Amino acid sequence: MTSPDLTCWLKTAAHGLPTAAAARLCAELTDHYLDAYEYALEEGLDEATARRTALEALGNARALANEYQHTYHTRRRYRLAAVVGMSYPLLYGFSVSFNESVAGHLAFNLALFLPLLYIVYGFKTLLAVRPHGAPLYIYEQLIHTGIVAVSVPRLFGWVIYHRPLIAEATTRSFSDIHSFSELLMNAIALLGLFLIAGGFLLLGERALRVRESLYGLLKPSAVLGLVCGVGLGVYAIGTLGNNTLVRGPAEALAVMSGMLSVVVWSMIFFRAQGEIRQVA
Amino acid sequence: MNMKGSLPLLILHVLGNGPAHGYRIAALIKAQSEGVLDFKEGTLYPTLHSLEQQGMIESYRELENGRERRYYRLMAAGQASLSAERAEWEEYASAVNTILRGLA
Repeated sequence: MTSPDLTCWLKTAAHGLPTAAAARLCAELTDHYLDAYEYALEEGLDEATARRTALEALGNARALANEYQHTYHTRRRYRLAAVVGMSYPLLYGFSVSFNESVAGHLAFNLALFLPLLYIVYGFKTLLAVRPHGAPLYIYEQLIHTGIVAVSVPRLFGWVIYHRPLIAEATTRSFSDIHSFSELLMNAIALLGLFLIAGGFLLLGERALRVRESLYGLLKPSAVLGLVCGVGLGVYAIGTLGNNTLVRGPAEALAVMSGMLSVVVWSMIFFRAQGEIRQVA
Repeated sequence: MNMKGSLPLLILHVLGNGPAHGYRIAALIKAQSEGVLDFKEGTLYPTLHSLEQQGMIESYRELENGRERRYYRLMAAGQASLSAERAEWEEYASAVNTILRGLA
């Protein structure tokens, strides 16, 4: 039996958390509250006092909300990630369609730097010492490092040459490279691609080991993570050997599976949202 | 008494004696410290989730009195961490006690 006070307390404490984390937290805190409430009744307290005692034992909801925010990614960051995930392939597709126009060039450059902007925005979270030293997942470290490694050389190329000048970013290849600094930039960007591919593979593999069913979408999310990782990896290898027959389809596979991943994770998000309403 | 920082060690210790859900972990910590280590029980869950992320413990669902509960149990990495942290804590406490006795 939950009370309106508990519902209000949970809403305050879980405010801004990612929906899945909030749902799990609310379920556990509700169980905890019910145990404390039953124990208080057994101790001879009346119902109202038992409810108040059980709620007070949980602590101050606002203070706990701050603590929870440090432990879990906030919902705001989660939404931003979804927007970046959607925008990247859309802008990329637009730039390819209007390759010769100014708008196409602008869209292409924006698409190149969008992931970097996301990383810069999330820098605080990346560097934040999580409570009790909980480290980032390896796949998070790989994807974030990979995005920086891919984007930073492009930024240099753009600043110096007014275009990305990265083999994998345009139709150019390693055979076009004419200076050591350009070779270095391309090598770093290529390494970044491999890191991102490895990150997606680990993400897919990890999803397979998650005990929860991810709201019935465990298999699609895992398969798409794996496909995206393989696609990016093959694309990187194709870029290395300038094999356009391999490079084109692999790129399309990676972008398509990435877009579908965003759709699947959005569905997980909305299903989790429905569950948290039920809990509340 | 403020127990910030020692909560993960205490959780690992409690789970070293067998699986338990959040409420039981909180109750055991309070009972075994005879009420000295009192804490806001809502703070327990982020710590539990962090320990799970680190692979120290794992959670599973089990029915208890007709209600599905999330239980936690110690993993091998958690057992190793518990031994190391316990030794560290004992060394630290012993050093502080030595100083306090010397200055008394």
